[in-house]
Amino acid sequence: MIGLYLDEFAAGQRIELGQHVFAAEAIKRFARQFTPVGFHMDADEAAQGLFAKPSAAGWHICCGWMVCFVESNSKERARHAASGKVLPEIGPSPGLSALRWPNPVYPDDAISYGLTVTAKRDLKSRPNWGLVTFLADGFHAARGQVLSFEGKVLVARR
Amino acid sequence: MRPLRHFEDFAVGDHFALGPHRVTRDEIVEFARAFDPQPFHLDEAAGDVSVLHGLSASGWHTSALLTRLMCDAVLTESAVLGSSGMDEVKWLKPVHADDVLAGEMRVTGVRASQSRPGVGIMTFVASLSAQDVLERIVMSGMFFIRRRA
Repeated sequence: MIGLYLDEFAAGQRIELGQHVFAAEAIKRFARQFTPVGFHMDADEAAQGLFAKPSAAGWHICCGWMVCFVESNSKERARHAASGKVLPEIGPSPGLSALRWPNPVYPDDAISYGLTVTAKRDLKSRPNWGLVTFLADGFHAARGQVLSFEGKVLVARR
Repeated sequence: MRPLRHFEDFAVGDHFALGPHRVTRDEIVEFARAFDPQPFHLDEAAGDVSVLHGLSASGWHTSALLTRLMCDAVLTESAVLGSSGMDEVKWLKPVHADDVLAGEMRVTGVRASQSRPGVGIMTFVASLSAQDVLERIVMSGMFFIRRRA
């Protein structure tokens, strides 16, 4: 991931992934498809709930992180491809834990995403891969943290 | 319209059937283009050579689908107010086109919110399997549910 091979990762590395803006229409479309509950879609229902106005589904906030993660890696690969260097693609993930949405994301919010590497290890079952674990996050400039989770991803060996 | 299910209507051990939902190639690719455009979620050839063995759905997609099936089974007719998170999500096996996903959501805990009066916390574990009976996703987490006034 992020154009790095397993040996290039180290605990404590901080990687900024960039920003994702949540358009009102995109928030509604995601909610209609995956979380069709009133408070995500309707201003009156939202006002009676925990949030002041319609907010992005939690999985949508996660998807914003993923968009930035994949894009960061693609840009890095493209940058190096120009000089003939081939960087690894992102591997699959077996899951995540401690997923938290501490604050809502509202229409037109710009969220800055990143990750901090926490550990890496070899995989006995897959000699060409290792597993990197990280703490993912997303922040809004005024409202603070809107996302955190402990992620895992397979990373290619050189 | 059925009466709204409130926090008091949930008890540990309650369970709700989820699905079935047939996953199409188009929905896998559409989701991946929007949110997770990695080759093995977009293209059969790239999927075939990946460790996922074939075009497969993004784990985020499977998670969102599981949430949609929980909405259809119980949440849209409940006084659900949101969620602050999920403790664990396991993507156990890849989800491929034409997999028919079905499963169960089970209530594992009910307690009052300490910080939000009038709100209860329902914890759950939910899973989906495909037609081969092998689990694709297991998720445990919580929802805020309004208490009866």
